[in-house]
Amino acid sequence: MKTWILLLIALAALAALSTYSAMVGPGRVDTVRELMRQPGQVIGQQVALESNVRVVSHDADTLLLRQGGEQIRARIPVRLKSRWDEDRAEIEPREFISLRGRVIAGPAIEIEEYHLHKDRSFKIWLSLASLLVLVAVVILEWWQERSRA
Amino acid sequence: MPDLLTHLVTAYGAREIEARRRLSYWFLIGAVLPDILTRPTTIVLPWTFWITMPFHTPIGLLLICVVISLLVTRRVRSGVFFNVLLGAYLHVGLDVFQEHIAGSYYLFFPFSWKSFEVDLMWPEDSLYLMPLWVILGIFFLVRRVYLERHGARKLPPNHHEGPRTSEEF
Repeated sequence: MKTWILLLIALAALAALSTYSAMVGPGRVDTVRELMRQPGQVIGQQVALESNVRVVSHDADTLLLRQGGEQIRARIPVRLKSRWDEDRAEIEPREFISLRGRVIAGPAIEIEEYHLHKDRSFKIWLSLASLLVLVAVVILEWWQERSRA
Repeated sequence: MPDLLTHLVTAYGAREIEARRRLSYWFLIGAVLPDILTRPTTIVLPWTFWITMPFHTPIGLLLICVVISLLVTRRVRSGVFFNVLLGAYLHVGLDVFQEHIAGSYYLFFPFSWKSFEVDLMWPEDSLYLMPLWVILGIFFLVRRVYLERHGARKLPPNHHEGPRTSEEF
């Protein structure tokens, strides 16, 4: 009985942390979904897009970004143009990107800082493969432990 | 986050180095737990970032370890709790060496919203060390098998378990 009470308390505390984070946190890192929901209200606002943002297409000074089914345009300022020209040459289709910028009319984003996550897709697949290895190791060790007992 | 291979090999290595053999496979599970709890949802549904973010913080992980340990038998509870917790904290410790555009690791949540990172490398930079991790992983695996086969390391049964009690969950 005591175990169940402790379990419920721990789960309730986790739910409370999660709710608090969901209610207070979104002011700090935004999603494209949030930007598209309130386009008029976010002009001029600083945003940072980090979670699973991909470059759909790009040209000399704009990018079309996609995050979780929503798309938004981003503009490269003159200050970052030379760096962008170098990066553009190596960019892979659907490359992951993180960026920070300011929302402008459109809505679109004027980029202030960005980072291309090269090989991130490979990293995700490698992590999944590692997870399978872990499952195999755990099953093997659990079985060995049972045999010893 | 570094990739899970990096987390796994680091945890496996730490477990092999730990001389008293108190770290079990639960330690390895703990070493990947923060990403398992958060990344699948944020990759598929990015707007869930703030909902799952607490599961990648020390306080959230402490509570999750409490939950996991309460789901196993009382006999192994303390061992499972400390193994998963140490593994998860090793994961967080490795993660803070990374750099992000907007910061991602809120170590003092819910007391502070300050993101803490050492900014040593970008998350995907760990991939450049992949050959090293693969070689180290194979080395630790072969070493373990060799030591166990040649009797240099005889593990007691259920080596991470505490004493049996009659009050099983």
